[in-house]
Amino acid sequence: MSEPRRFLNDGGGLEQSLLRSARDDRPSPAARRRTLAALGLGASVLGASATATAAASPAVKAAASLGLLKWIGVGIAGGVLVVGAAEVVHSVSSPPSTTITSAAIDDHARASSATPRGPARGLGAVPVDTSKELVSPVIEAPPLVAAPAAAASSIAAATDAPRARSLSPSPASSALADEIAALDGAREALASGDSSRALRALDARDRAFPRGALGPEATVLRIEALALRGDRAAATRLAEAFLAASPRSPHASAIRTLLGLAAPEPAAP
Amino acid sequence: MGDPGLGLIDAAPSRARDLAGPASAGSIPIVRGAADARAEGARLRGLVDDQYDFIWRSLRRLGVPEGDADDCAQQVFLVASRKLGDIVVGCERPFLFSTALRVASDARRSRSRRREVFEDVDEPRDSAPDPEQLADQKRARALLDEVLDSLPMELRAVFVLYELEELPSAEIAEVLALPIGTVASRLRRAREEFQRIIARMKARDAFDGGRR
Repeated sequence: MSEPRRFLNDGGGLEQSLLRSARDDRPSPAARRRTLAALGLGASVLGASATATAAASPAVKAAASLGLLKWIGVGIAGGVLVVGAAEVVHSVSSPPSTTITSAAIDDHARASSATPRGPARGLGAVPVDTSKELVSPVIEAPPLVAAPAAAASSIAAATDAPRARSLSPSPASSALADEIAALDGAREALASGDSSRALRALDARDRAFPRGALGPEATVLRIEALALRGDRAAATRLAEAFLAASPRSPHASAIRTLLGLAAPEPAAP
Repeated sequence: MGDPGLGLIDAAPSRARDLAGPASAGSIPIVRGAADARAEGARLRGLVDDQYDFIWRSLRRLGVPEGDADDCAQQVFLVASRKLGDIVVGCERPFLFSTALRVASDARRSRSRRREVFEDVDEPRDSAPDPEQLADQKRARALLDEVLDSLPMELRAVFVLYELEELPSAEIAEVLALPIGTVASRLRRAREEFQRIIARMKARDAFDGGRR
């Protein structure tokens, strides 16, 4: 089947002129760099390790005020937040669980199939119920940016901070920016040690964005908040459900570290 | 949900769930996790390196204003990063383009809502500029946007890939996950519509010139 000759090469004067004007369409090199930075790939991709996490912490703090960037590159913030809270949790927690129970999987299945509900209950009461307010239809793998984050990536992210902040007014990304802002409240509450306020913020986010793009990140923060509150049972239940659904998530190892959960055995070759 | 009429590709089936039972503690899985993260990061980096320009150009030509193209491109790759495990190796470009189509469609709807409030502009401008005037690339580019805005998205996608990206029909079929016959018919309709709009502009311009 022969293809028609393109207007670009064989059209009339006006057609050609119009189409040729699009030949100048090209992004700036800075735009690509900003995207790489937002993905946590600004410089190089480092693997997950506690030492990398520790090294990244100052950069993460520096990026904490950046708005969109820290959530798009959620591995930078989320992973560090989780690991950063590990000591707190371990100081109040029971010995690590080493099993992923079928009950937890069932819990996750119920949570996954739930539809958005009305106003969330108060947080003071039953932690398990609180965790079930998370109604993401499927807990998906978060962005792959680097599990417990890379220092170089974080620094690159911080370097591009002003541009990243400017993303929020874009019509196409406004919903994402709003969701990020909603998670900001939870993150800030966690940073100040206020787990109840963090959970309220997460409930609000779940109501506003039941199918939001940052469901996994919200789940990670909820696990952390529950753990910080000392509600290890609920935190573990939610973590196990998350790990069952997304065993390869970049957050997985950090969550296991946080709750002292055993890692799965590698698949047989 | 994807609109099959647009030739959009829904997210690939979810990755197999690893519901393996209890495991003994140890460092090997953590090491494996780090290796996975590195591999995925490298793949994502490769995607950006290979496809960023194409996606940015496509977003512009699918109707995203220049001022929003950077943000929308970033949004596309954010989605890709979240779905990376589901993207079949070798099918990255179709996934990214289908995501770009969604993002551009959302942006277009958002812009239309703003237009309804502030303006009453749905048709391309009435008069066609002289070829000399089109030396002004910005004006020509803005006019092209207006003409392309008049095409339905499913036609626009095929038109842009063929006329501007200069992809062969077979590759367009691959990118859009459409039968090649569908691509051919959409291309034919898109080209006819494009010419009709241009002809109308020329006619109006001649009419206005005659009255002057």
